[in-house]
Amino acid sequence: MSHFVVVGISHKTAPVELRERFSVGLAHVPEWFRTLSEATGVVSGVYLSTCNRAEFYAFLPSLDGELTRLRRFLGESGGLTGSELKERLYVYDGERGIAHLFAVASGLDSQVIGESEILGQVKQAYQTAQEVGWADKRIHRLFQHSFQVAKRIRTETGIGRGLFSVGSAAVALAEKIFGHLSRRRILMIGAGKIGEKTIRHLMEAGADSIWVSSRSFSHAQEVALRLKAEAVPFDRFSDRMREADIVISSTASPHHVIHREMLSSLMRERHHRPLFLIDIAVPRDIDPSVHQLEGVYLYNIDDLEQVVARSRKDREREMEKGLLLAREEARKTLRDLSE
Amino acid sequence: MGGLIGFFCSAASLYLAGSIGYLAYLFWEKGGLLRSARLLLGGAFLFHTLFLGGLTVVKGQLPMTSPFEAAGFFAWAIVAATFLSSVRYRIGILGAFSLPLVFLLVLSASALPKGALLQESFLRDGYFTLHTLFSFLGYAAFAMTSLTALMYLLLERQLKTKQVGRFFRRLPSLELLERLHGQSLGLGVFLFLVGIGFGLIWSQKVFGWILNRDLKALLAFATWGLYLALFAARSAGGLRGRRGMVASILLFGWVLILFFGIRHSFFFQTVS
Repeated sequence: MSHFVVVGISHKTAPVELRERFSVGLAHVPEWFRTLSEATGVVSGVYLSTCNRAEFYAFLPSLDGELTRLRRFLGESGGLTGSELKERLYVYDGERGIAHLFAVASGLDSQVIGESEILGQVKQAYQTAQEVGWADKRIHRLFQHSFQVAKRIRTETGIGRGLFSVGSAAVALAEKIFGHLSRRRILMIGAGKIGEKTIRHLMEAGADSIWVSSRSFSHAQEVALRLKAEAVPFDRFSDRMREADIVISSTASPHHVIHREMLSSLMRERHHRPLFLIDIAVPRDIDPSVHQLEGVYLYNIDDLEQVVARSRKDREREMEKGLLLAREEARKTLRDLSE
Repeated sequence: MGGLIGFFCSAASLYLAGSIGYLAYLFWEKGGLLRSARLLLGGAFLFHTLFLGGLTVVKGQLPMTSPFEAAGFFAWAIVAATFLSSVRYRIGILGAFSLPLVFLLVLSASALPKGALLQESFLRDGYFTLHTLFSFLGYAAFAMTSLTALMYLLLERQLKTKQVGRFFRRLPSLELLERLHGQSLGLGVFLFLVGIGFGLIWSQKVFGWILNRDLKALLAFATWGLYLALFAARSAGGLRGRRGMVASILLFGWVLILFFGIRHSFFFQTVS
């Protein structure tokens, strides 16, 4: 009879400066496993080390000696002792441990709920254990099953849906207005870092025609070069607005750069063809009343953050369903493993 | 017709179940709901096609001679347009908007007179068949314009109010809706014009006059003219977006008034 255990530390129990001490690079994993084996007698298991967690998954013959040694080894490897070890390092065993693995693999336990990167990281950790001969039959069965459960949780609940950042919110809104973003023209006014980041999100979604305009033309040229875009003199940006579909404004101007009157006549010339304005400047660059004009959709940084927050709330509502599924699957898995 | 009515009733029941399935999917995003609604829609369409096909065989002509048959064919044409648009543009949610309309049409069809209100000899004419066929296909295209307009206005409102919720995710982009709207409008104007053309030829052949005292035909002309004006305004760059969509919905409301209010009371009584 063996017991499944998870010993670890995560974003829920420790800050990044503590978590980073548990990080083990891929190249050092074989050596880390050897040391672990010498110190604890454990000879199989999986070590998952990401920026948000460090967890060791194993089947132990008992929950006494080996587990105590395992906890001490992991604690010491991250420099934890005494009360800190108790507070920061958690241990889950049996059904709860398996449910935790399923929750981790599906993104339910992630800092950004529902993110999908973690599944790849769990797969990588399992593969590494397999390469060094630490994935025995039970580990193999459990982890293979965890990948299926993660997929089921992501499919049957809405945790993987929605928006995870301001950039992805901008892309989702742009796609709701224009459909696919290829052949869409984007004008960036002001060449700030957040603007550039948002542009990169839009480029990843297919946008490839970009103009950059800044009060400093040399700076606009610099940014345009990085983005493979075209630099436009600041006094000519309104000409480009006639053709643009998306405008991202992030100048340091203390006043509005885009006014209602200007946009009102521009929209008539455009035959009210939709125009998506993203104002990420503080103070704002675009007169908020332009949102009332037909065909104009203006979102400032707060609006985009609210869109992300609403999406996060939706995912949080779905989280409970996901946890129930993880527990249900853990019960079945434990039964299968003990047969 | 007696035996075939079973197909019609089955189709009506499945349209109702499909409408409920689609509307449920609109509020609770479950893939199973959408799949079930699609299956119900497919089943309903099959029964409806069997009913119309059977009736065609029994009567020896397309079943569009009585108000009941006309409304039934109109509903069938909308479902066919929904299928085509869903496949062509990958708009899975279109059924949530078209199916309730289809169910109401089928329901109201069952309350309409089932016998032909004109002499059978007048209606057993190829021009009449072509007239009704093209007119109803045109009506179905106009129905699609109003349904896409409704979806457009819903999405546009969510973008304007910045309420990006679950409902928002299920709707296609404004650009796609605008495109589908424009194409349905153009197709509707063309089909309806062809339908009117065949109607005029049939009228001349059977009654010996064109448009004489026929309010229905004049109103149909006026309707086509209004749709043509909307199409022309859109093509010229005006009446795009919100205003064009509102105009579409108002025009289709007018079509329904014409269909139920005029066609099935005034027209048949006057001419016959």
